[in-house]
Amino acid sequence: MLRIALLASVIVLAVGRASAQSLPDLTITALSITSDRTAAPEGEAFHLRIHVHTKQRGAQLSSLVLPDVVNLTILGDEKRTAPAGDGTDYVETLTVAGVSPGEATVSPAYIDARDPSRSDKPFRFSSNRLRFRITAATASGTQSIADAAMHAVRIALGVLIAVIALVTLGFLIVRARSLAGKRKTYVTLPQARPVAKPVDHRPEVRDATLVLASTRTRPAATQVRAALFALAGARHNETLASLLKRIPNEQRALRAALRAAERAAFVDESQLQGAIDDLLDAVRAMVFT
Amino acid sequence: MTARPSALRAAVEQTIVGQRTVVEGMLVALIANGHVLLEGPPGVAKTLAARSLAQAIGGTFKRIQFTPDLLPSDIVGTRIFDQRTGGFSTVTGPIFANIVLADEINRSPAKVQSALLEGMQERQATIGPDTLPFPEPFIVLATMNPLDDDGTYALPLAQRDRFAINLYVDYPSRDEEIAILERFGAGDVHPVRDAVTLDDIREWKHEADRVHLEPRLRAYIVDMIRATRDSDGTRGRYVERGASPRAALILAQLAKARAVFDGRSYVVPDDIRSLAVPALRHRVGFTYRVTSERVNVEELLESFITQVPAP
Repeated sequence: MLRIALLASVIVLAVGRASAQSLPDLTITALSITSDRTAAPEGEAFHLRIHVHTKQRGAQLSSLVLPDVVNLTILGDEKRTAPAGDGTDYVETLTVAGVSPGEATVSPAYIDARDPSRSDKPFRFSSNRLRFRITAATASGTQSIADAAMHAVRIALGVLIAVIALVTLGFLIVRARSLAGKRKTYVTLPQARPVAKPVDHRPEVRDATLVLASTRTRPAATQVRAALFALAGARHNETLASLLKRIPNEQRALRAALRAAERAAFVDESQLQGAIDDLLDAVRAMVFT
Repeated sequence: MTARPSALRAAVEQTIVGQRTVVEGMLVALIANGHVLLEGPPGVAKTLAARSLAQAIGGTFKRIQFTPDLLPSDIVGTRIFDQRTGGFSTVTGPIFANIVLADEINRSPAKVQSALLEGMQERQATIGPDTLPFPEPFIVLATMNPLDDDGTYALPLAQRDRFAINLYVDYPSRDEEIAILERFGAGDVHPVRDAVTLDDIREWKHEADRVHLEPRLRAYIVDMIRATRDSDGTRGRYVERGASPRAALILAQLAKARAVFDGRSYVVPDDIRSLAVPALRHRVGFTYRVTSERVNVEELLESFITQVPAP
């Protein structure tokens, strides 16, 4: 559309023969001026982009006449020529700034050339024109401060939202792990079984004592000791001192029997028979108590 | 008539409040002819316990404060020139006493520690051309503060092995502290003197030599020592070196002494069980994990010992 519009705006001019002799041979298919702004604060730089497309490759566009600018000052000029698929693209970027508040205008840029596609007749190819509104610098400053403030607020809000999102995400992860950990602690309890009936160790004590009375040996005394320990409820690897701490003083006979058994189990051989007598007496006393 | 060890304990306990395990341990070591390593924070009556024991047995007592500038001759003795006779005479050091308190033994360098530890082993000292035996009984009570180890010279495992028993003197209970204030608040308390004689102690030692140790109990001791050496599970993680066969010998000796202390002529499993941790604590080499993970050494050793079936 732009190309068509530009082409439609081409004005064909007849020029004198002498000057026509020095015109370059160019077929211009596009010539336009564009800008990214329609208004700008006073003194603030913005860009005008002049685009020319020719059908000729490697064309020199030194004959391009830059536009006249009103209420604008040209701060810089940058040219770039690049081969295009069907010719050459030429882009010239002007950096301009508004001089004073009000309207600023940019007149058309143009090129005088002979067009080979039109029997080498001289033509003037012209671009469009532009208008701008230049605002006051103070208003612009206020605007920029407001813009900056809004920009800062927007950044702060963005950061805040990001932090909240991260914290929420972290909380959810921790919560999920915590729940997972708790789930791990669930154990399947074994099915309850009826409490075993306490084992009565008295027959063991009686049998071991009968054997001791008949054999009167240390192994037999050791058996009586083991039976008495079981009767007293000794735990695995429990020694006499630890066991006696748990047996009430009222059970004197059992305590005495345990001490006698300890002596018979570990006493010197020369005192063994006396220790066995003491053990047998202690067990009898325990039975009759 | 020979006095019983319980009389000695009663005499010491007139000065020392609580610390029954420590007092019993010292007396058992005395009967077993072994030396004692006392560990504990300052101010828990380590020195007082040693002094009370020395005065109660009526023997000689010497205290050596170990410092970085102490010399071996400060402990053992030296030879000095006698102007009257024109020759050298031997002056014995403080190690020549019945009870020697080596206070803060880890404050002196290795050569000073060695002088003491050699004397402990040999029970005699050579000063110049003279080799002099120590008085009998001879017991060294060495103290060490495990908390404040800046500027100390740690005793190597081989040297700690010279001590028969390693007793930890902990802070007293609340009631015991109140009793300490009552007992010492009125002024100086003088330890009981000469509750037993040196002859009594010699007699107890002879009794300990005659105490019967059932073969099953020997096996129990050996199994207990070997339990510190297996490198499976927890032991492998926390124990670098288990106890040596010397530990088994010492534990048997201590068990016999405890039997005498209790008035028995035979050892029972309780004698061994109750002395196992104090006899092994300083003989087992632990890994760095024990320190880094703040593992309780006593509980660790107990866990090994209780795995051995009692006879």
